Amino acid sequence: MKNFALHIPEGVKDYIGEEAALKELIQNKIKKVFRTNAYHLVETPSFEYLDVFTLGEESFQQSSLYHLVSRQGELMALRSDMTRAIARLIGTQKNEGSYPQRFAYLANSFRYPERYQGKLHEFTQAGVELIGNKSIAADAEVIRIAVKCLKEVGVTEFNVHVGSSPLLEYILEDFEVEKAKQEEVFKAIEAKDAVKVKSILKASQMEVETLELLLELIQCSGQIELLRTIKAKMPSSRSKAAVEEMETLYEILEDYGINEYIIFDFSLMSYGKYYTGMMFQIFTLDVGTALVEGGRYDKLLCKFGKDLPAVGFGVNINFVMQRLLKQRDLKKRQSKKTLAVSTPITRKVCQEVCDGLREENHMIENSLLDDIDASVDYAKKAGLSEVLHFKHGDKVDVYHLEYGTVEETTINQL
Amino acid sequence: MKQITFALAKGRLAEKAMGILKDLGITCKEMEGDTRKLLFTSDDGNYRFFLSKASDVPTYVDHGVADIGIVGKDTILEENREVYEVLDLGFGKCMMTVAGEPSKSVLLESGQLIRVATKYPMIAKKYFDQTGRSVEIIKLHGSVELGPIVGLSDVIVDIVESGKTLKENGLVVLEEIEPLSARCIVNSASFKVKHQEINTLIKAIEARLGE
Repeated sequence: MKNFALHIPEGVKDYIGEEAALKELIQNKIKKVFRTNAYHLVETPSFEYLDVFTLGEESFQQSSLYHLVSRQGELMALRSDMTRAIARLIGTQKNEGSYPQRFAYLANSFRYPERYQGKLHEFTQAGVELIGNKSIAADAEVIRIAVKCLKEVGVTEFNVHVGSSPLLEYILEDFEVEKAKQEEVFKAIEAKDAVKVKSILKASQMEVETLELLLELIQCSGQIELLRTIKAKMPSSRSKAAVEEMETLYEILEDYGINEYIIFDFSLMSYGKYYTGMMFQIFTLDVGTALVEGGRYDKLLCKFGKDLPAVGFGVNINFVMQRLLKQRDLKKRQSKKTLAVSTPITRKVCQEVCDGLREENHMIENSLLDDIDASVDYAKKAGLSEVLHFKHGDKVDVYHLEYGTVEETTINQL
Repeated sequence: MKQITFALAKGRLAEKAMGILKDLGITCKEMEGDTRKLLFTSDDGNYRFFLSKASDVPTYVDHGVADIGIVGKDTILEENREVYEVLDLGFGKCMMTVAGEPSKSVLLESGQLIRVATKYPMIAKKYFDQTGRSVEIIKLHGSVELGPIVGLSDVIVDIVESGKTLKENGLVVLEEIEPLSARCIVNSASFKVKHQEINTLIKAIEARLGE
């Protein structure tokens, strides 16, 4: 019989050793970026009423949610999406504060993929939401912070793909494509089926030039020059304005010194019904999914009773770890650890000195063995790099295990 | 250029796809002849190829271990993975259908529970859900036509190419679900990170198919 007590279910995992250390390091660095940019960390419940995660969706039957039923029979779900939880939190607040408000989070969310896909059901996300401001400066701010997070944790060679979510809708409407056809197009986009999008467009009796423009548009991405070319081709003032906004965004990001990461993306994945303006994704080599996803969502908060514009992003910490683990090997990151060995006489002074070193962020383990030789043996086996032996008085022997040398010194010289 | 990895559905699709790539000047001598190797590199070193069971192709592409996959639309629909479908290759054309004895057409409209045998439970379930009928799906792994013949199921959901197997067993196509053909799928991150390489390649394949 399977011993359930020793197993974990599909889709969850343990983090131990260096992996746990790496995760903590990433999270701390990202939290610091959030804090220094004046985003306030919030926590929301791990489970809430089902409505929070399904409001405004076609159906509350969502197969990706972890459902729960309370003792009173109320339907609930484990948090599937932090953005919705924060939208609910803002909706719940009674007192109108001043806007914009800046929120940050670091939390686990839960989603069912289909079975046996090798994907985590519980994953960690860090992100920000900038609520109550509609400016391009706000869009630029969240992109800047997302880039800063990745740079801080040491992700290299990434690109920020920036798109304008409603652009395609504007163009289709300007060319008077029927509503039903538009619906079909967006359905196919949701299914990531470019073949179908093309065939719908081809079948919709539009002018040849229009069709060519659209077919070209939905597969192109490039630098700022491309954006300018596309602007000239836009059919109406509305779609032109949308592209102009992207141009303004670029100018701000140029001043922030991060324009080198920016790629303008008009491919199908930029258009969906969720985002209402700028949307962006950050991709890197060796990870098959976006590390960061974000954008402007001005329609979500009104579902929770507050008609406020909002923009934000989420970093998937698990994907960032996947990338960093491929970038360099774990051993190199192992931080130096020291073992402190004392005698009953030097115990007090040893503790004082070590606490001083700990204040300076050194990692120091107290030896539980009295004997110095046994302690050194233990330190070697446990992979520690240094042993401090508080012999007597202020005399200390320092064993450099990496080099196999011993140096006699005094407390004051440590 | 950045190296591009292909996952190909073993068999005819892979052969056809390699044929097209050969026309574009992408050759792979390693792959020709009898070999037990699983992973091949093109002669110019720019591409890697591996052959896998068709239903695994979307999995490899979803996880990004293959950038591009060549596989039938039936598999894409059934596996329902987060992959980006970019090109209809036009070969391997066939139809996903509901088939059974001619008399079963009445049952399909009756509102009664329909027993369906299929290799494609996801496609079958979705189709009957969308058309508002209740079904009981029985998953089979081969020779699905046996289902109605021996009385396991009322109808089947399966691919029909020529219709010969159906005819010889007294079955007919009752409803057409969706036309199928070989497709080119791309991992969404690869499509971004290796955009230039992949886009150039896809345009070249498209042009070659148009000839």
